[in-house]
Amino acid sequence: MAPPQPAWVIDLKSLNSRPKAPSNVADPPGYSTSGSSKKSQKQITPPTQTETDDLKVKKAWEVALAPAKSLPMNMIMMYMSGNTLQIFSIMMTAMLFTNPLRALSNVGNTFSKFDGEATHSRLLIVKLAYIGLQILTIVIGIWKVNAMGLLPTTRSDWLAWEHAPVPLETSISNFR
Amino acid sequence: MWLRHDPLHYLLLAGSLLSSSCQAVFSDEAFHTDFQVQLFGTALDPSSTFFHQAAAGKSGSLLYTLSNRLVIGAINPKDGAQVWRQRLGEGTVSESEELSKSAWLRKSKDGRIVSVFDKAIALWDAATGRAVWEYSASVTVADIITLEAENLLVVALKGGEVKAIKLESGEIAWETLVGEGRDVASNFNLIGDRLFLTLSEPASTALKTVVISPATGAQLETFVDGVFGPSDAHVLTPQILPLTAFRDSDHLKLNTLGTKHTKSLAVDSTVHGYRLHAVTKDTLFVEFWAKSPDSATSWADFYTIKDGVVTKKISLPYENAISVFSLSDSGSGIFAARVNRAEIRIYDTESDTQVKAFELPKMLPTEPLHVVAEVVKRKDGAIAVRAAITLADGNMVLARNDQIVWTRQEALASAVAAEFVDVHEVEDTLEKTLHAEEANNLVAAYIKRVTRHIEELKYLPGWIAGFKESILGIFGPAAPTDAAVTKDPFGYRKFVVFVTRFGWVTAVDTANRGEVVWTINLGKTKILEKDIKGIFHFGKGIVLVVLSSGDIYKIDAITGKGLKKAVVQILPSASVMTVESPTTDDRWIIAVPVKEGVKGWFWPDEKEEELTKALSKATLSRKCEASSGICGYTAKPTVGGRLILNPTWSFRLPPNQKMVSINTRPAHDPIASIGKVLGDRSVMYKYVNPHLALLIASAPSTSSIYLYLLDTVSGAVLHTSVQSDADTTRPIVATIAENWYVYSYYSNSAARGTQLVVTDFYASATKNDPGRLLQHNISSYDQPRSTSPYGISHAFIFTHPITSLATTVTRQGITTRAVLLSVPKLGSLLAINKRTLEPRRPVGREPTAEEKEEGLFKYDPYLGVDHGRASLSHIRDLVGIEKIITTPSLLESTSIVVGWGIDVFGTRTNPSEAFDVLGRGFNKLALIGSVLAVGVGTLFLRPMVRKKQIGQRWAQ
Repeated sequence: MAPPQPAWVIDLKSLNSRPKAPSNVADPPGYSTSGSSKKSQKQITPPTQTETDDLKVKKAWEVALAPAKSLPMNMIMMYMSGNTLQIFSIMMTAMLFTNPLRALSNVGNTFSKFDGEATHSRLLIVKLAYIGLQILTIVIGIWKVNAMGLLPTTRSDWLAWEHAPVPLETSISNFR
Repeated sequence: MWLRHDPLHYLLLAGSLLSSSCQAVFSDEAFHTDFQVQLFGTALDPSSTFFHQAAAGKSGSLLYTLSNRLVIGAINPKDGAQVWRQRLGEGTVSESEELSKSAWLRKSKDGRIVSVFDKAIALWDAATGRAVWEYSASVTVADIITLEAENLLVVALKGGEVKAIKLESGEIAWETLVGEGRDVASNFNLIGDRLFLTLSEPASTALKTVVISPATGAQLETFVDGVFGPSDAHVLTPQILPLTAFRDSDHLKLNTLGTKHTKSLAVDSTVHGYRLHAVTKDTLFVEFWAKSPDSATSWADFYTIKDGVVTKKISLPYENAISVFSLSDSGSGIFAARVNRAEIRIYDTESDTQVKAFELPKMLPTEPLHVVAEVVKRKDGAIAVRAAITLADGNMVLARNDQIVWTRQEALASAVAAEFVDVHEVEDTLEKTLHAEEANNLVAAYIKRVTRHIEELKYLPGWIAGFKESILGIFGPAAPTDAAVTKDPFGYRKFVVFVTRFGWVTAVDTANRGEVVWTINLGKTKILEKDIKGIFHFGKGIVLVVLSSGDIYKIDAITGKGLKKAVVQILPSASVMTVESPTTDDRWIIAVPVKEGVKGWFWPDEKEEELTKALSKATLSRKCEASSGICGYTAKPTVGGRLILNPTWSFRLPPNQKMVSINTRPAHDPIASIGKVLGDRSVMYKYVNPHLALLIASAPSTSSIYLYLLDTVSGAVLHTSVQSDADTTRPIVATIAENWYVYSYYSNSAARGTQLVVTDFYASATKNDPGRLLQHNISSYDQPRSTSPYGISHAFIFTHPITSLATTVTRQGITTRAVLLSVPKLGSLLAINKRTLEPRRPVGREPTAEEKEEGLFKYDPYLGVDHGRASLSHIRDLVGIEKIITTPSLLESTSIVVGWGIDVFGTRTNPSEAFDVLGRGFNKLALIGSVLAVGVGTLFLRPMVRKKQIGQRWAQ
């Protein structure tokens, strides 16, 4: 079922039924009631449901692909900020994680306005693309964190937990 | 890369980065955290110790002395402070009787003193200790005499050569040869303007005297004074007397110079010792004593010499006790001072009764050895005395009348062994107590805790006092507090227990400027380094001194009380070691004899099963006979305190190699990280083996030194290296810790000089390969060649000879190590960070970024000494530091270092900077001030803000 039309749509549609202007006041020169009403009649033809859906999906795609636009910028910024532990690079790296995570937790909300009976299935792929791009942003973050040396990926990271076993034998000596 | 580690690493790195640009000792810590006990050593001979005016015309004299460690110097008699010090030679702790024949100190004219040691003669400025000139003779010096009128110093060499040296310039004025080089010169005497030189002619068994003209050196006359048999020996005769003295087995013979007249005094010289004193040419004073300390006797005789005839005047009373004598010319008469443990008695030449007795306020700690006294008779007839007494424990005491003015702990200069004792061991550490509390049930734990708190109340007064101090300390430098009453939270307080060659055990406190805490007599008169089997820690606050005679002394190291003395029948050649039970607190000492098939000993002879358990997996190792290598044994206790020994391995040096030293890792040597993280974040695993022993051998024939790294469990040779072109006569020293060793030797190669070589050992040559390091149940016996450690070395050239090497140790081993060097030429104790002595430093190129990250910098073969950064002793002048010992404090950053030999020097060092303690420069005032300011501000602002908030609410 199509949603109820908003009041302004009804108003616009019932433009013709508007009470005629009082006859004692002349129309302004060049104003043609019939002509304008004819034109507007043609324009205000309500879009079909498919058209609305297409539009919604298109808009959804725009939202979904927005993170892709910021990806190169993020990469450049991360590259430029260096691997040292400074407040800015730490904050920027943290943003790389917090923003996508927040976005991921709000996927439903973000696309709810585009959601409809018809668009629901089509939005799925859009959402997937959106999620994929957010994950890509996180991957950049992980890459950055790794470059900063914060990931336990090397042998030295586990060195503190490695201990030489207690030797089996003991030795007692005095060489005086 | 470092964030992924323990937070401590983080701190450490910050610290170690700082350390590269920081001072070894901060200027505000110098003289506060370190101490130096400036020592001379025990005065050698009463004739070489004297009061003397430092400069002509100056009133007041200094006390000059020559010690058994060949140090000469001046002591201020008022307070016992050192005025100056010079070293005559690199002497070891040797027999003073032997030494006093070849070394002596004499007064000279114009405020100069002259020293002789073996072949070297030196004239010193008495006030400053500067050398005026030095002269080195070709043979040993027999005697010297200063001729005031001629301004000459005449020297007689053993072979009969006589040289006159000008006092101002040190040039030879004349020289002559007495005899044909066959005679043995012994003694100068000056009578008027005739200089007599006494010589013995071994060939013709004659004693002869040659008269020499002081001005020209011409030999004027020769007398043959008498028969000088092969058993005869010279007696040191005061040069002022017209006599020469010699002795045979039962006579003291006094020959009047220039005549055949010889007076013979019957003294059994095997039983009695004697010494001749004289201050004027007509009075001879002979001091006698019994040679054996068990039957102490002493007496003395006055003789007058008139016209060449020696006659006995009076005899001072014979006493069955040790007393020592000194003769003094007060200007108004000659006095003899007689000193025993309790009193100083003054005799004059007229009667055998004392003219004055000064009773000392306290008995001297031990018998006097010899004394130098100055007696003054005032115009009103009152007698005053000043006596520098050398005691049998090696210390020197100055007594003025009936007061002890000062005591110098000179015995510490004759220490033969030293060991740290942790004062905190006695108190159960808090951690242990808490664990014990946890183990109990609730009620018992509660009771235990309350009792502990009550127990700890004893620290409260000290804490309050200390609290006051620390509050005051905010505003100014804190006064040193008595360490005994306040707790020592950082564990800086350690006792160093010394065994001296005089048979005493002495402990000094490192937290209290090296003050002597206690001293105890072992009841042995003479202990040499070879007599000490060891000083061992034996449980909480207990040390055990084991002598090669088999005597075992158990001493409470905190109070200095002798707890137990035991005698075990052990062979003098046995090696003594301690065994700790792995499960209980039991300890034993075991003696492993060198002879094959002989059983060992263990003491105490109890808890045999426990010892069996403790020894079941243990390998004992010791030097093989004649130092030919290292021998390993397994042991099993049996009845009667004996050990059955089974030789398991031995490593013997080839016959042309001589053992120099064996070093093992310090007893407390934790390895915090078993790997070294490289710049690319891979790991080089260290070669971790607690059983390492580094054996250094020298081969003089090929001038090489050989280094063998052994596993003392299996006897396996893990690594060897050879240095050719080494000077094997110079000191070769080494230290080993963790997975590395450092050694120093003198190289005659193209890079001539002292070289310092560092070798690090890794489990394998490849990165990230722990080898068998992490595998469990790997036995030391199971070591195929493929598992030998991978060693990397770097050699550095050092500017000065190094006589001792050691390494710092800290509680957990996280702090970077520093290698400590004793450099006698500089008079310093230096610390070189292990990061500098790093074999992975890139050679001939700048380090890459990764290497920089690892902390490596370009290798420079020349290891210069930057005193500001390296010297732990800063501006102090250390004399004779021969051994360095280190121990951890309770702070991870800090290691306590004590160097000993002649001086005792102690300090605390932070190789990675003091990352866990606030420095003295920390502004507590600013901190407390700002806290108070914020507090006061809050106090004022709070009501204001509240009022405003309430106002706002009402206004809405």
